[in-house]
Amino acid sequence: MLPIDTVLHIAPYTVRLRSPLVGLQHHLDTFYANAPRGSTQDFIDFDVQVLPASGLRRWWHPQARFVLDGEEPFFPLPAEQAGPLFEWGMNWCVAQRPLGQLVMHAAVVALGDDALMAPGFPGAGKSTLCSALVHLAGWRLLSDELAILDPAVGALLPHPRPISLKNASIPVVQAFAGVRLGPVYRDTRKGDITHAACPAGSLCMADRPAKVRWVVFPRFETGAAPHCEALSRAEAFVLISEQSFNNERMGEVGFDALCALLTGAECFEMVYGSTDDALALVRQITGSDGKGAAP
Amino acid sequence: MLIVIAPGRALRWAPRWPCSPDAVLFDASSGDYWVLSSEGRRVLEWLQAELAVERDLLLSRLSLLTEAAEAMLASLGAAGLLVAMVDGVVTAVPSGVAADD
Repeated sequence: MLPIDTVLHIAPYTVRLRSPLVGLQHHLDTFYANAPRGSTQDFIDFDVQVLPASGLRRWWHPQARFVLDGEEPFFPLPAEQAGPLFEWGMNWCVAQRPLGQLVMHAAVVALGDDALMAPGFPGAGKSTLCSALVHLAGWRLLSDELAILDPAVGALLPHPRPISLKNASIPVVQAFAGVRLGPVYRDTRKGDITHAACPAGSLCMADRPAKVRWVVFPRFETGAAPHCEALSRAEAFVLISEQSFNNERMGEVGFDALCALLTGAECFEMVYGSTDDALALVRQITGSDGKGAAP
Repeated sequence: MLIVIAPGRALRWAPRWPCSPDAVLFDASSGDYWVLSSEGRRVLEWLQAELAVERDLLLSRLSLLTEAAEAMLASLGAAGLLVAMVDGVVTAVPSGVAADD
């Protein structure tokens, strides 16, 4: 198999990716086969290489290294985890590189141009909720992990990539109609993980920003009765700021952008114990079932 | 004793959101932010407008009992938002009732 040397347009960024690792090629074939391709003449936001470790590690328990612009921000992982390493590395690129956008840890889905942003700490159930809304309720995926706020347009930019699923969420999402999962990687640093492909409809709308209408802080609790409560925007500001990767670097521009986002949104926290309950709460909050939403 | 906003701050307010009694205040110099009660906001707004206010006058303007008002000023000082000035020298906002003006 030829080494990978390709330029991917993963909205809103252009990524040059080079790697000789077969596992990463499979990951690209599974999840990025339809991603627009560019050339090395394009402006490259992230110049990424996923490389094998050198020396003995090339053959004995081979490892994969994530290299960005010649630097390695992470420890290597087992070579068979090259796909997840690429995804984690991309998250790091978007979160850490100063690109003039406020980047927050949140899932984002939209109905037409109205976005629901779901910030949350790891384990809150963002990705499962996001998968359910996308696969069962007709929402489009902007991102399961990164809300990218462009201060110039006051809207979130789609960054459609595979949805990352962990541990107990894997069989839950596997049962959703129409979902396409990749291989399950066992015993990673985050436990068992897999990815769900971004729906084609979301990829088609990857150039269409969405304004935040609802900010929802989800919390999955086994056996919890469904519950939803309005939050003040000041409370939401604090919670979102805690989940922002670069608000300090963004300074006043980021503050103004986040304030404008909150001014145009209603804020809620919701607790649920099942996917059905979560979908019902979102319907209650947004007043929509998502089906037949305007494209 | 004068109370002033701590030197070096470049303070900005979030909009007055409906149904949000608390106010978000941002310092463009440091990137820090605070969530203030409506009384805290009033204090900061007075000082933004008047630059420096006598501590006793400030306390008398607040619709709080003296002890609560002093505690609030002290907490704004502890948060790095306010400082006191005595004879031109910057000092911490006192937390006790007996301030030596």
